[in-house]
Amino acid sequence: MLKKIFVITITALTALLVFMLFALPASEKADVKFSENSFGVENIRIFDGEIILENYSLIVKDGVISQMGEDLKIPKNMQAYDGKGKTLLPGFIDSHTHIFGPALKDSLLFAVTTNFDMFTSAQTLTGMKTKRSGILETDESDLWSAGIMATAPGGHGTQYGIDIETLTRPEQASAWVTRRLAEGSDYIKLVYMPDRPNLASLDLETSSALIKAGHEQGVLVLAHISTLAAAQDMLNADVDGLVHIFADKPVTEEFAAQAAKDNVFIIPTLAVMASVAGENLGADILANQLATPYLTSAQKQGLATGFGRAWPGFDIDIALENTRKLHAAGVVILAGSDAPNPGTTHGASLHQEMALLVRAGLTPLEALHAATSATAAAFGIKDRGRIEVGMRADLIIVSGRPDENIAHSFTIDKIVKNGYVVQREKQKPIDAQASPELADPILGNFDKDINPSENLTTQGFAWSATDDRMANGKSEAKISHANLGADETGGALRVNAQVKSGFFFPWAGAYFGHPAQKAHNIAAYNTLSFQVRGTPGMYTAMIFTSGSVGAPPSQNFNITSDITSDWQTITLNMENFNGLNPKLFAGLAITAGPAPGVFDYEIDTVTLGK
Amino acid sequence: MQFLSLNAFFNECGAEILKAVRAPEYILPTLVLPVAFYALFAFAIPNSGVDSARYLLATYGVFAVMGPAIFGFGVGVANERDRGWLDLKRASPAPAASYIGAKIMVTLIFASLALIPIYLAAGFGADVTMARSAWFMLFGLHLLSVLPFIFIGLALGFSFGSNGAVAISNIVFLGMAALGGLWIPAFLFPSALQTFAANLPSFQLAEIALAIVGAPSQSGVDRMPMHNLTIVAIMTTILAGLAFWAWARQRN
Amino acid sequence: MSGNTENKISSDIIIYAKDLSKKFGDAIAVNSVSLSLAKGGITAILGENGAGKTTFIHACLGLTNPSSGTLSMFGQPPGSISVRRRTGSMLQDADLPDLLSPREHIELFASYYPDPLNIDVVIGMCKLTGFADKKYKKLSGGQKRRVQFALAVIGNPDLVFLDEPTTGLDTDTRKMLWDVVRQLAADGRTIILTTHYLEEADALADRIVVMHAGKIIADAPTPEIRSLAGGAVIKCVTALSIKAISVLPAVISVRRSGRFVEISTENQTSALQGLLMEDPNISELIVKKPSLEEAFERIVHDKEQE
Repeated sequence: MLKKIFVITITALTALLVFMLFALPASEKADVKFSENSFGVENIRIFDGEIILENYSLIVKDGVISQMGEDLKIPKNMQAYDGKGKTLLPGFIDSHTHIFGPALKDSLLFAVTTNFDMFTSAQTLTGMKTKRSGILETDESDLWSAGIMATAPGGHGTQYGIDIETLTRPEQASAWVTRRLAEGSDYIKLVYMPDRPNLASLDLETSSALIKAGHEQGVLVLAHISTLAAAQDMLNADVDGLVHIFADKPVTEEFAAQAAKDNVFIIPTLAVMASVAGENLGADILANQLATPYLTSAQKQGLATGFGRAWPGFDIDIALENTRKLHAAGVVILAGSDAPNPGTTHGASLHQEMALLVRAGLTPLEALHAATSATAAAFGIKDRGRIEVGMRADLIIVSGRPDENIAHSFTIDKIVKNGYVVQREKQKPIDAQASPELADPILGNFDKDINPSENLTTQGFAWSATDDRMANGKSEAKISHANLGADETGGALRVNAQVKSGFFFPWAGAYFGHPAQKAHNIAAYNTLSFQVRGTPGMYTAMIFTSGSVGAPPSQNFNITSDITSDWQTITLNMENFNGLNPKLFAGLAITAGPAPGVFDYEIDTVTLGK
Repeated sequence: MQFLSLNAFFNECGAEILKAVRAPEYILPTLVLPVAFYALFAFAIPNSGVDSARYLLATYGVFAVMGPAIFGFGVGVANERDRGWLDLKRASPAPAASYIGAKIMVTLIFASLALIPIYLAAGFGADVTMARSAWFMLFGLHLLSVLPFIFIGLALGFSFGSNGAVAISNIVFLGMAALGGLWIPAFLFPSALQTFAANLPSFQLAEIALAIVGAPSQSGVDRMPMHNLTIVAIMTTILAGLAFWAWARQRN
Repeated sequence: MSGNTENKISSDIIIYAKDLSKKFGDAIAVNSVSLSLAKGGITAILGENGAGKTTFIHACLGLTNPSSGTLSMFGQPPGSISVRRRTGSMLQDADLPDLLSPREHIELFASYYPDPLNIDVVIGMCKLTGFADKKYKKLSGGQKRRVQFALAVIGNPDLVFLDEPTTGLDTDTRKMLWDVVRQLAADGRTIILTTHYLEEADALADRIVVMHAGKIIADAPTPEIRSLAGGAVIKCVTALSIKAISVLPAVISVRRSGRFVEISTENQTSALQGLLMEDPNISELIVKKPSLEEAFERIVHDKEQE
């Protein structure tokens, strides 16, 4: 009886248990579910921020590197990648950018997972600290920022139309730094350019006070300089880092030794130096088939534009040589692109910066170090920049070996941000975007009024005044109809422009454009010609394209006559609008500037020609 | 002879089942309390999603098997020893293993009965979904979790009189549950308490269970269930030694 | 091989103890006890509470380890499985789990033994019919003792230990138990019972072992123990003085009891001869043999005199 009780109990219970365990809801997957930002990589070369580890495996769990080793078992049900023949690196850190628009998105698509901004509006800083400390899925790279930079009234930095608080006296420094930190700035950047003739600058006392105030309030202070003498001043004032390599003179041994001893880091920004020096390196990126498919049209345009000419005092060879010497002396060199200055763009230009560092004499491994762990260390960031257990899973997998050939940094196979694989798709080929032909090659003859032909009006085009007040500049333009035109039968377009300093590239003039910036095709035309007369000076023609951000492709031309004299015919070759995509034409501006002054001029017979 | 032992074992099991079933005032709380607690924390408290229901299943399963093990052995053995029943058993040819074995078997039966409602509540009430293999592994682990607590119960049963054993068993039971992180996750404890928790078999078993259900590690370092298993094995061996020592000590 | 000799012993010697001692701390419960017990019969271990009877039984059952000395059961160490299979026991302070019925208890114990008796037969034999399916906790004290007794015999054992089996039982139950014990002995089993009831030992035992303060002070067949007192009590009416009687041969003690004198003697014949010689007119003469109780008291008394 007792035995029977037991046998019945145990049989019934076993049956019940088996039934229950088979009835419980089972997931499709064979095993335990890992979060989406968990995965493993096997048999891969790893650049850990310092050295190469061959044949390694790595496990990322919940967005954090949780295990590394040579004989690591990837859990059965974890997403696993075979890394054979590939190299895994920390996500790149750009130590010098300016963030606006889609910069954080664009840079992430080129494996830059963290940006150190060196000047942007205070609003840009909103939410950046919360975002960078979380481990959420994102299509943007993380941001550290100086916020607005310290400069003198009228100094470098005041020309961009951003409302910035300038300062002139050392007593202002401490309160100024306090206000920046309250706005969210992570460090202080000051502009010290006392030796540039046409530009106001902070004096040495104020700069030194800023450095001291920054240190007292617990943050790094970086100085933008452009000459050896200025760099020496900042070094003596105990600055933490120098922004841009000076290219006026070769660096002295004493300077290099002092910088190394004081542990001052330098962000040479060679890409933008090359651009300022007239080297059109943006074209190299545009020609790189590993890069162009992933660039937006706005980025392509930015890469195609240059500073227009070689600026004096920027010798790229001296810049490279100074970088090499400083590096050889043991000074910490960081990779920073200074995008989106003309000729550069967010993300892609950091790869070019690494290549330039190699050109300056760093090994590819050292260039990678400069774009990863060195930057994190210099700014005291502890959760990224290395491939190490406990680090945030910001990493990239490339199919080449960038530690041997730096150009391989473009061979991006996978970008991982916070453990999530970033969707990286080729931009839609431009040919696929069908845009309508512009209805009339004659954009304006102004016979009766300032409106373009009926066909163009139907398409939505109109003439209007344009000036840099839209970019917080101070220039002003008015347009009106003038009765007497170049052909003496009809009228012309009269522009009264006042070009004033206040924006980096000030302008004021007339604009022919579509209100919604809708793209139109002008690929059939090779030239832009118009008749003009007015105040002598330098003028600029700019062509705007749909969806573009930043400086548009432009050409300068000069008016030599005056408003009462004969008309001049200006013919500009379309090819010389660098970076223009003619299928995306959205507008045309004929403006006075960038030199300040009062300009009165008339335009007639604006025509696209073949 | 083999048959004889098995026969004795089966009869012993039957007797233990009858004894347990005829004392519902003892057996019901150990079956009902765990599922009630689980339901409270997994459903009733707002903001608890499917994931928390899954993690709580891991820890409350360990909680559910602790009761039958600690009380069944601690209080049961102390009581039967008190009234001289154990002496009579030892004088009889009843194999010592069959007495302990039957108690283990009955503990497993009642542990299963305590687990079933929790599993059903998790799977069909809270929509917890896991791989079939994970369900089986988790249940297997929960059943095996009785082992260290059985030895604790035995050590208590051999060391205290029946009244003392009830009091001490309650303290051990509640302490193991609360400090082992079975009710509230251990990572929410102050760090000194966390260090202490790591010394409890309940904590180590919960860690293995959490690894099986795939709960993310809170410390950033990966869960290492094999590591926890080794610790549990060592703890169980020590507790078995302690139980044996308590048994040998009371014999004379 | 030495094992051969031991096996030979085991065939007829069931308990063999030599200089067996058991200490609990400083207290000596069993003090250098030597005892050899052959197969068959009923042996009573007689003694007051605390005399060491239960400790000795526990040692025989393997429940307690001796502090020193030798003890073997069936030629084996006590407590070994083969010994336990041939032994049934009823312990003095062993209560059974409350929630099982007598039948379930008996069934469980039956499963421990290789060749148990029929459960229903035992239930009938031990007079459990009528409450065999009640829960143990609902039984009366006498019923519980009967169930415990049933557990001692269900295994069809060669040797049965009964530790104070009838303590607290009513006369009827006691008599019933005695009958069963006699029946078991008649079947050839060896019965060892401890008791502090002389009457019980007298009524049941073939052999009596008297324990006092941990020691065996007497060990002999029951009639022999009874006659250990040797003499008798002579009761009569006489003119002789107490003093005159006490100097007669073989007289141990004299006392007056009303008009009678009572004379304890080692040798009734010599004492009577002496008495008749001094006073031929003695009347109402009675010669009385001593009871076991008197014998026991005397044995203990003598032991304490030493």
